[in-house]
Amino acid sequence: MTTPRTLLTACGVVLFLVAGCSRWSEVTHSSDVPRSPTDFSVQGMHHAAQVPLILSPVHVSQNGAGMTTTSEFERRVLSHLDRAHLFSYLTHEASGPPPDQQHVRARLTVKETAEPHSGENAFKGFVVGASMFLLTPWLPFEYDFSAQMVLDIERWDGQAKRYLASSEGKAYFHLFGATPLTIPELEGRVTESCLTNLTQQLIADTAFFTAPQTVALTP
Amino acid sequence: MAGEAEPSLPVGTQEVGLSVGYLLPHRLTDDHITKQKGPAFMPSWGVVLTNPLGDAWYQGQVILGAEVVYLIFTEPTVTHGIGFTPKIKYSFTALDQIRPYLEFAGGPFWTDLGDRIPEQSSKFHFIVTAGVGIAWFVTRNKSLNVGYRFQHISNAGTSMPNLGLNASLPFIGFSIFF
Repeated sequence: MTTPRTLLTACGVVLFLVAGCSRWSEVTHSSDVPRSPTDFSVQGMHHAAQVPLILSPVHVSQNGAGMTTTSEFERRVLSHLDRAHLFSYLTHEASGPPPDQQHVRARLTVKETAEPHSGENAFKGFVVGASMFLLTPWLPFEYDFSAQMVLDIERWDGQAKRYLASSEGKAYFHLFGATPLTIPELEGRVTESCLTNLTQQLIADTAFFTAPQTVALTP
Repeated sequence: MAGEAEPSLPVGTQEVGLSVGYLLPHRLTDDHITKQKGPAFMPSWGVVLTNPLGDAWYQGQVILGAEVVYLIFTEPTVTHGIGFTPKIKYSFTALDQIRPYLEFAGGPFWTDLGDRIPEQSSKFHFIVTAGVGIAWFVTRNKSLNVGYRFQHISNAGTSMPNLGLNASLPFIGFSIFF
């Protein structure tokens, strides 16, 4: 019967193409997030009790080698911390001298680990090519990325606290689904996960950032 | 990534290119008498699969893709050949703007020259290519290429005679990366 066979072949071709063009990623958090930001009554903190946050230059290393931190990343960190509504304003240390008023100083260290599976991917590429691309759907290429962030906070009175967050992710892509965005997307998701986690930890610790003379938290 | 990375082609970058060259025959035995010659056109596509491997002069990236080979044999008679070959390329990245590369490709090839010469008896063949080249990146995503390939065409013994056709193929071309 020609029609069912043709239909079956067409379905097979479509499945092959869809599978061969796909890409996906998985991100897992290594640290437990206590609660979501909306669970916290940050609104209970009077604006007058808030102090400014000064961010020291962010230190980034990948696979043990130091890297030049992008200003975009530092803006992203400040933007995340700003979303917590814990501080009266946020600024970078390089923007000017610290304010005279009570303030909080933050130092972020980022340790990234990239495992590009280069040898394995090159071998898979050879096999996929040798199969005239027929093995494309069964041999996805892989890329691993993880990040560990350490946020050291020092209060106006010298008290210090350390917040840790880590996250790891894995990207898979088939030959026909490859795009230069695959890896940056994975790295972005892992970074976002860490920053969100850190922000949530700060929110959970609201009292630590509140100036003593004006503490006013909701019960 | 939170930091600034070294410049190289990111994994997943696509390469589209076109090369043109001229086929020059090699008669490797006394039984080879055909002097197949003519222009060659090779549109190609590839994907960067790896970050730079190694950290010495041999540092480079693996690019996997495919190529269509279209040959016009002007001698001994005007005939044509067309093939489709998966292609794997190792691009040396240590020099950044000037990137030498090695490439290997192989796949099915059809030509109507096949049954008109004493060396080959069929139209269906396989083509195998090994080559070297240099890509000069004139911008971050465009390169001019020049290189040399050795090309072998035969039918893997599916019909006799099957002496095989061998040729040199110097070429020039360009690639766009996105």
